[in-house]
Amino acid sequence: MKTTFEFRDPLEISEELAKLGQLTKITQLDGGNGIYTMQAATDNKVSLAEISANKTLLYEGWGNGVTIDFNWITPKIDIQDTFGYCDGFKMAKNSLAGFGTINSVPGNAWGKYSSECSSTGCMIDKKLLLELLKNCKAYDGLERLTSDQGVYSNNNALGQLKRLARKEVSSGIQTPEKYFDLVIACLEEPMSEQNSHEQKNIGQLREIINLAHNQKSMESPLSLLEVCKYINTSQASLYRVCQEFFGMGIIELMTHIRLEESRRMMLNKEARQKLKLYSIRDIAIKYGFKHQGRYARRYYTAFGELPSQTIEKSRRYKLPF
Amino acid sequence: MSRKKHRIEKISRKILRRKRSRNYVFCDTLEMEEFCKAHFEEYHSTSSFGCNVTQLSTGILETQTTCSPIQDVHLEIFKSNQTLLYEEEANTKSVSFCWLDSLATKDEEVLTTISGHQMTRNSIAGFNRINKTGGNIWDIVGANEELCCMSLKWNKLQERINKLNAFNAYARLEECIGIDSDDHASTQLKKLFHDHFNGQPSKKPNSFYDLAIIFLDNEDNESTFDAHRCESTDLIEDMVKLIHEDRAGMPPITLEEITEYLNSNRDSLNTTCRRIFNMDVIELVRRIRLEQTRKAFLTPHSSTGLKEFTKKRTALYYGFKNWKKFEHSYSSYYGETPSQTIDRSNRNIYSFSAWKGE
Repeated sequence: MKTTFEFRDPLEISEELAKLGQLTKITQLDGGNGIYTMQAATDNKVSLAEISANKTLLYEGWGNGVTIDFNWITPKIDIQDTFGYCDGFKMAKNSLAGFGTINSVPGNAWGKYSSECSSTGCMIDKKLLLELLKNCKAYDGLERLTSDQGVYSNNNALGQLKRLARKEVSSGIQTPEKYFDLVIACLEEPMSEQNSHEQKNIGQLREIINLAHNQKSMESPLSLLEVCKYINTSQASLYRVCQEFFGMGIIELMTHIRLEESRRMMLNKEARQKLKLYSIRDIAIKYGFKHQGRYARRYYTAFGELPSQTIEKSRRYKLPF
Repeated sequence: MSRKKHRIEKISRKILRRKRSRNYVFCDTLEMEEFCKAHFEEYHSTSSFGCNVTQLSTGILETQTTCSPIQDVHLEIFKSNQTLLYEEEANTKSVSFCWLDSLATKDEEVLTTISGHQMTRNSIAGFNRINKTGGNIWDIVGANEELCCMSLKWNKLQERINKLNAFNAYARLEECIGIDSDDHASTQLKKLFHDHFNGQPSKKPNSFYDLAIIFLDNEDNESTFDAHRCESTDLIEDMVKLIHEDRAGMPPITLEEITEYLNSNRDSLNTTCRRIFNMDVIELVRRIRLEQTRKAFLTPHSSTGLKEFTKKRTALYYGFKNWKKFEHSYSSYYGETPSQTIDRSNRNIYSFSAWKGE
């Protein structure tokens, strides 16, 4: 199966990912019109998805408990830099990450990728992979998989994996077993200095992302003091983390996510009816915007259209609830 | 090589000379708006800018603005003999810091409110960034209170915050609408500003950035005096915006419509409005409408004859059905009749854009 799409709404990528068994919420972190492309291929045991966007995207909820995700990025410009974060793991040219999905309560993994790279997710069957790892006595790999978020791989296996995926994401998956072998080879990578560097803030970042998407905290937005209390951190260190990972303040980030979520609701006619959200004001209040006026203005700045125009658009969509 | 350097120095000296302080005097709000638009469009280049000024007190207006920008820092002193309501679309490129220059009066008598923060002689306000996600800003500038404004570039400020690890400052920009403090940094900042306008022009934009950051980052400022955004600040922000909206061809917004739109009730809205503007909502709407009518009379884009011919229709458009009553209150507020306004309106044509934003 081969598909290439061009999208203008993060929601559409979410939908496509849902077809691969990934339930995600995607927020565009820069203002302005976004254009995204996605290519996907799927097989019984392996699925591939490559996404490229002209804006920074934040993914929440990647991971479903059945598969383990191995994510990497392909820079559009050839520099040694950080292009994003997968579950708090720095994504550079040689990163392979997303292991957090192994013990995934759906929705506790997240990713953020800049517009300077495309991101690829390779989702492989968890049960089979664990079996294979045990069979070939790859205990180092097993240990990595269960205790780390990612790995910087400097051997050939990652390069091979990337080339294979690049080819098969458009031609269709022909040799699913190769993915398992290559992933295991990457996981068995000997400990390098780069890898032994401990990743900080992993737990805290997950909490931030989780809190920001929590329905209750969206409905009555938390003040900065409350956020600090909930995450159990000081104001200054919270802002240091948010600046480093998201390039914006926590309140701004949470507002962005609420806006995007309200948009998702507006585009979903069925869900609206089920939740008895009949007007734009009902939706605005549901996502913590008390005054419709301010809501509409913020909405317009973020998406370049008014809530009423989005409602109009929702006729085009048919989304599962 | 050295010749090139010499040339650069010469050019930069030229820029410095070109950017010496300038004074502007305005006698009506339209003139002031046009000036602000031209001025800020140059300064923020890519972001669009719109503003509305309404005179809240009675009498003939005269404002004084002194601008003295240096690189990446816009510095301005503003004073008006009337109390003004200033409303603008928030721009995402800059952060402003406003304070009042040494007041002779007591704190309780200060009228000026900046972005919802009731000013005292020790306040600095206007820097709240959460507003900027698509909001508008409103200020009240009290009559004869001298307002000092410093506008910093957001991307540069953000960069320096990161460099200085002053993450408390970042938190403040998001959650805090104003700080009352006379700590060392704020005293220094005010002194630097004061000296700049009084014969010792500053050539170091970074000192303004750093002092602002140190001031924001100071944790002691928080524990004692700190103002967070509250419901009523948001409510007024929305109301001010709503009242200013032009509803193409529709009659002026009613109190019922305002309360419905803002999801609020009449009493609480009136209470908040009285506390801040010293008048109830309908009176505020009337004052803004009156000012809009005045601006329509003043606009240089239509001939005096046509404006005279359509003056009653203009008043009607802004909700004044009874011309006699309108003319009477107009004259008592502005010290001239509508016809007098129209008559003098096209004499000075404004062309501020030619001033290149200085």
